[in-house]
Amino acid sequence: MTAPVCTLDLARMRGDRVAKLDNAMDAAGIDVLVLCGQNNVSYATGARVPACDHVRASWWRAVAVLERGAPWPHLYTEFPEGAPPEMPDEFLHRAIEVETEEGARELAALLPGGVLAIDDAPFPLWDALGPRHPVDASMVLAPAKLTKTPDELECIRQAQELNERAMLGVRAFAVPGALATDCSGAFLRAIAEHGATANTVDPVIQVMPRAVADGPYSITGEPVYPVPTRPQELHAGDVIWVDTGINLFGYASDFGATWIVGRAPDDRERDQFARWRAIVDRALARVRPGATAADLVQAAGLEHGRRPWLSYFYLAHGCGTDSAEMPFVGTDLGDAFDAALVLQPGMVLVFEPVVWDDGAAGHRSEEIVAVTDDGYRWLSSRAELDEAGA
Amino acid sequence: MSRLPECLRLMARDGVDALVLGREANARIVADTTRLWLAGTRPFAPGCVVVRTTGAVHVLANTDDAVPGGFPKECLFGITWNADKLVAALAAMPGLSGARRVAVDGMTPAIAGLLARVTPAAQLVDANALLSELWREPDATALARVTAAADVAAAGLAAMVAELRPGVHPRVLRGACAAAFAAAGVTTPAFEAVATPLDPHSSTWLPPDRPLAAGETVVLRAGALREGWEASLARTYVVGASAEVVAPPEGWDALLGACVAGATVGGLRGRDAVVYGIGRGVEPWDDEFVLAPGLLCALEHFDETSLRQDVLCVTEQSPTVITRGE
Repeated sequence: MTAPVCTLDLARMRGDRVAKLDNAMDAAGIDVLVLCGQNNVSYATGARVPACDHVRASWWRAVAVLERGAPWPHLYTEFPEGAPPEMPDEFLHRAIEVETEEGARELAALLPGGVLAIDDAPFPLWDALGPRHPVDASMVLAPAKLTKTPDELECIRQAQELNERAMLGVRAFAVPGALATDCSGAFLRAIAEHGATANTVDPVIQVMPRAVADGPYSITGEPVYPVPTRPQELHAGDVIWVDTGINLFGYASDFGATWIVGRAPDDRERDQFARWRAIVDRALARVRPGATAADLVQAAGLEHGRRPWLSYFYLAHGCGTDSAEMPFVGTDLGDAFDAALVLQPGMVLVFEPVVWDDGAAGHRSEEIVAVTDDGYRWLSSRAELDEAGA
Repeated sequence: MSRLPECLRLMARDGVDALVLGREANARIVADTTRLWLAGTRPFAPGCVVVRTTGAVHVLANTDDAVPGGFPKECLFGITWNADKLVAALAAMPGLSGARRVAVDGMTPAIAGLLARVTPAAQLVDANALLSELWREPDATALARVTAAADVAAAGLAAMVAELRPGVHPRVLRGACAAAFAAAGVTTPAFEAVATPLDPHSSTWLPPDRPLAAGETVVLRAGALREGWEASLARTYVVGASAEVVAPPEGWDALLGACVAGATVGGLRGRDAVVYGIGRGVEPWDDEFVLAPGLLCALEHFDETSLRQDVLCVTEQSPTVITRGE
């Protein structure tokens, strides 16, 4: 169990976010911010929408429009009951179907003048806004989201606690003879019962091969992860990498662990966990304001002569209204990017290194911290060696 | 089955040299992808690219686990955070850099800049018209696949009904539905199941954060995405010791009977019906869309007492209702 960051005040959190966006718009010289990505709309307005498959979500998308200096963003939504209670009526509007030319023109005509930024557009809206030469909204969103307020950190902590509590119960389902999807079902039921706002990703319950060559085919030569969960029977000795995410009040969580089915971990698996622990601990020892992502990469060191994480992901990533957002540490953006990324209080880091001994599988877990004024604080429980199969 | 051949034919007809798709359902249609399911929208980025001159489809994936057997490995391109690497991967796709007309299903300022580096001479156009035609192409497997998804959706709805009693929290029913889907081997929804009071002032898509009371009229919605094919249904119940199903809204049978070949979607919407295509996800239709035999669609209607939604297969006569439920 992690300690609360603060007493959560959702209305205060939403107000703080609008203020951060406004400051970021000011700094970037943006007059109008148009948001069509649902996680960004959620960030700007606090609005809820149903959790849907991609195209359904696109057609039913809510849209937020924030004018610099305005007290609230305008919210256009099919789901008015999902708007936060404190939102004034004059900012809450019926949906505009920006997936159609007619709707796109309608929204474009409503927008105030000035420099316009947008995050993501259905093509008709992109076309309608063409004469405005929109710039990328990441100029505003990235600085606003990069550090979290105490309320935001508390949301992530609570989301993670809920996710962990669910997975603690799910562990009992990962036994020889069970199907991987039995674990998925137990998880999805548990998070609903525990109060999650929504699920965000098909729960990953992946039986890992012993060696990369055992498949599935990997274009990088590294372990392939994640692949969608299928009704695959679990067997004693299987090494499973799990990864689950939920939404609580608009915030993501990220749980990752390695489970060993039907037996105690062997000496190799104990060693793999110890090496994983050491990598994270070395990196954590460097986490404080002023340190760079490059410092963390350097501290994590090498395993078998290479960086101990999947090259197509990262040593660590941020977490907020998206389950993986800035800051990114150790990506293929390169060393210069890492050297330029300076840790600040309020940043969130989800560490997910991978120890892989080809032929003997490996270990992957995740741990989440927030950077504080003098170091870091935990937003997740600490990873443990899985002994439940013994 | 992938509709790539039909896609290439439509591209040739419309003079589209390349199709750059970001939406998962569109990737399912042209490449039968089975990538990890994520809820909600995501910013447009090239996730699936079709090049007309080579007839090749390129898929963003680090493994061929995400594509059907026999898919050429050289047509996979890897996950990257680095714009330069994405540009290099796109530029390496034979025939793409010379494209003059590129159809896309979304756009962001960042990706617009990136595509301009890869296809400097290209005009960007909306892929939706082409995709809309692709959705209506006959697919011999669609009925069976959507029917299988409908069976899962119905099992989910039945699980919700079994737990619908006074004092139950709507999200508990959502969990019951997801667990029933998983018991059928399906862990991906078309949407997360909904249990919410029938209220003319709400969308009936977002449940309240409170227990349901005896005597309340409640809409239950369940939608499954089984192996990349969608089906959904909704029914209305009165909460009680044993949940009691409410008869369909007035005019339901007449509306159902009107969903026949030759009917326009706009005509049905004029009768307060919600109508959209169903297949590799939602396949939105505009008002001018004309129903044809073999098309699969969702039909929804409500009045003050009841809301109902089913999936239908259009025929020349009365449609076949695919979703089984009381």
